Amino acid sequence: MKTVIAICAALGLAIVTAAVVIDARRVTTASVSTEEYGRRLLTETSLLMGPDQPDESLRFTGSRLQCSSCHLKGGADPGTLSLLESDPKYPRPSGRDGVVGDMKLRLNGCMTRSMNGKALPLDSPEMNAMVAYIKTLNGRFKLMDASRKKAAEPQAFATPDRAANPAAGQKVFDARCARCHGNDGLGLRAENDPRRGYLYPPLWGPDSFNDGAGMHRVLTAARFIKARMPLGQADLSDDEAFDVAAFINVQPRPEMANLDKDYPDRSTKPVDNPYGPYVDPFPIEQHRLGPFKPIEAFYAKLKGAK
Amino acid sequence: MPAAATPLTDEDIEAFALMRAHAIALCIAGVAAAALTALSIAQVVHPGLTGDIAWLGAGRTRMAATALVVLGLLGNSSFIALYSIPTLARVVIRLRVGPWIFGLLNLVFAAPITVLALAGRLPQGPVLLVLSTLSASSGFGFFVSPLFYLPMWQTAALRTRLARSSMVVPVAQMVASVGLVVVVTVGGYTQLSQARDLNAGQLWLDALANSQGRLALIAWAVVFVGWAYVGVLSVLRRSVLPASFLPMGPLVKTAAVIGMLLPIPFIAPLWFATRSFSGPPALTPSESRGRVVFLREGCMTCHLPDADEVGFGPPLVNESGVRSTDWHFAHLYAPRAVTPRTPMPSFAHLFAGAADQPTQDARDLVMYLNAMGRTQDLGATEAKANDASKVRARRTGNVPEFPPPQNRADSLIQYRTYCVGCHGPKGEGDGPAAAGLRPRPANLAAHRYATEHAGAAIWNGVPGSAMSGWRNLPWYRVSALIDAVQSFGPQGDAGATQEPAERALGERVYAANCSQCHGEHGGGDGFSAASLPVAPANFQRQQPTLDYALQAIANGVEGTPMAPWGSRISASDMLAVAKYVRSFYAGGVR
Repeated sequence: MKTVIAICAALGLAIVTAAVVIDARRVTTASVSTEEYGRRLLTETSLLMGPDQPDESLRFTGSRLQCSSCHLKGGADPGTLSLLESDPKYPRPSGRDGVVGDMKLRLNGCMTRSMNGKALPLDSPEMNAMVAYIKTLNGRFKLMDASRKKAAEPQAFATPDRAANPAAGQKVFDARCARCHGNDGLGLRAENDPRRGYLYPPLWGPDSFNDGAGMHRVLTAARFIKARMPLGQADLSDDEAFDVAAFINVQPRPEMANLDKDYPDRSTKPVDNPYGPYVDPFPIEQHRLGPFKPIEAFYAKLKGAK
Repeated sequence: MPAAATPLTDEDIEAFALMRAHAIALCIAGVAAAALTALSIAQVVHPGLTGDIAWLGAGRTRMAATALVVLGLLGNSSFIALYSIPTLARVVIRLRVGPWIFGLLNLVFAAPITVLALAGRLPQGPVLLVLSTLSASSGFGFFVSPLFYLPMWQTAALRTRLARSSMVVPVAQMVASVGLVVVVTVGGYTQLSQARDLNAGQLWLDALANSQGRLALIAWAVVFVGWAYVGVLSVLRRSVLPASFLPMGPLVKTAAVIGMLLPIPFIAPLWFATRSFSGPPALTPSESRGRVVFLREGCMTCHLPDADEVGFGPPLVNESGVRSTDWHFAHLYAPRAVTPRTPMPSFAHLFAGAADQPTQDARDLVMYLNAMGRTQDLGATEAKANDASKVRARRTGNVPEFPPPQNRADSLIQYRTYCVGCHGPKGEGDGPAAAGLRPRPANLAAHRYATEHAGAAIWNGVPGSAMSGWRNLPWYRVSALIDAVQSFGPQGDAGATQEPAERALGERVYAANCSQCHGEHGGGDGFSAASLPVAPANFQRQQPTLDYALQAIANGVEGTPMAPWGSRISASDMLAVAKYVRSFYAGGVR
């Protein structure tokens, strides 16, 4: 009887002690993979995963961009490059990787290309957090009413039937882009806390996306520029967007290794893919700047032949 | 019901002895929990007892209180589980076990769950699976236990009318526990399969956060009250059980009864917890964790779940989008730094030493606060949002015309009540709560503000900053606050004149670098303005001092899209443009 009471008392004491000890140790800023962390990873990428992150094991990106540099408002803004509707699209076939990939594979595509960094371990808190966030976005999207879902964007970009002219693009850049991105295109650093990266992202140079990124494709860039830039006053014409995208993409930027391994099935390469090898006979310059009509016709025919 | 008495066995005697031990343990836990709760309430009601921010160390006190409450609750359930398992072993496989098995099983069942619930964290992987199975087994214990005390109860029923007439209790318990087992098992595993690394308490609390959860709670209450009834009756009515089993004095007896009944009031907050704070959308992982923190920290003691009921604290049902994350962190960390006379206790134990170093718990809690009333928030129109609550701070809309202020002394008193925490005693934006806020609170001493502009900022708040709308204040107070704000700034128009050549330079620099956000005429209405998280300064309505303007241009404004321009434009350009932006001011000071 006494033994039982003693056991109960000791147990109670042990639990309270353990609780107090755990309480004392629970003060930790360690992040867990919630969508809240995911949102911060997307909007404060440079601070949390960038080259200036004090914890070396968390330095995943090589650029100092944020995910939200392109996915505006952390992907929560409807329209071009919005992440609101991404979740249901995965898993899906990826031509670039040659496999059916899930969202994690896609995110690592961003990490190694647009962010010029290294792939996240698939089970890392960071990866899980970003996936959780993107899933949350979709849940929220479904509940938005129609007016909120509608993107405030001009008419979608239509590819001009000509080669892009980087020289003309430079004029557009100087007139419309340089105010924020700088005359040198290297962006505007947040100098009072350099770890936060840039207020206005660099469009080329060491802190920008590498040459394997989707944004390095002239049509992808032009679509984004037409829809979103200049921020708050997206009024560039198709020609201006096309030329300025070309101007940005002929500038120096980090290079990614083994790009020739991309697209195991080369016939799935996008027409504006800026690196070879290609199955078509067109020169690489034409893939970078256009005109794209002949290339599109070639691939349409190829597909028809299959 | 069978009339024949079942003779008590040695094992029954042992079990009743254990029941008594349990009653004593529960009693101790319950009394301590009650004392700690009373202490907490005392500190909230009379914060002076412990000094201004002396609550800092109270996290542990509160944890201990929670620990004891959980101990009390689990004590009850575990006993039922414990008693049933050895009995089952004895009946089914004829294994005779001594009292030691109870202690062992207590360790296996109650301890890990208790500790983890308190730690607010559950490990991942197989350990989690084992623990979930164990908690499900407790539910099994709920179900089977009445089966095994039923024979003893029948024995007692032969001796007392009371026991005879209440045979329905164990039956009701068995029925109710079926639902409970389903929720604990199915709900627990569903949670597990959906989100691997969520909170421990969440398994339990999330299951309660819906209508099935409420049914389960009712079931749980039936089981628990039934058990308390049987236990209390056994202690109080010596005739229920042979006298030799219960050699208790009146003191011990009273204590035992109190101990067994004490956990009942704690069912009430759980019931509140199941009432929906926010409708759909379903809580996200972070918000779910925040909900656990909300409940664990006892927030609903003061912040009642209904908009119409006002507890110690204001209702939080429409908190979504009202205040910035930074504001919540500063306020949770040191409430009186933000609002000097608030009875809100500090939750500094959710931070790693500073308001801008929140732990995941604090982040999750704020996520949860921001989820409350989100349905209205997502519903787009302002009208819809406004219907939800009178106190909800709307972010846009017309500003009423405020009456003239009474006198400067009164204005400053109002200022010290509402504003001083962030904006500081002299309006310099350096109040005790300012440290964690990004952007920093406005430096009122470095600006002249037009009356309507100050009024709009106070009435609507400043989107993107920690400044929330103060629409719940009477108009004459808003008026006094405007007066106080204007009293801090420079009174004259010194330095607004500019040499024509310098002005032309300023105009050029401004048009090239500033107008995309601040607008052609300094109205804060450039084409980029709408896309920015914080609205650009409207220089027609606020005029910075020259020093402030120069410093803002050179270093940027932290936490806003105002970038540091020091490296991009020359010192003379900067001076010219700083003077130029000051020339936009269109007045409006009374």
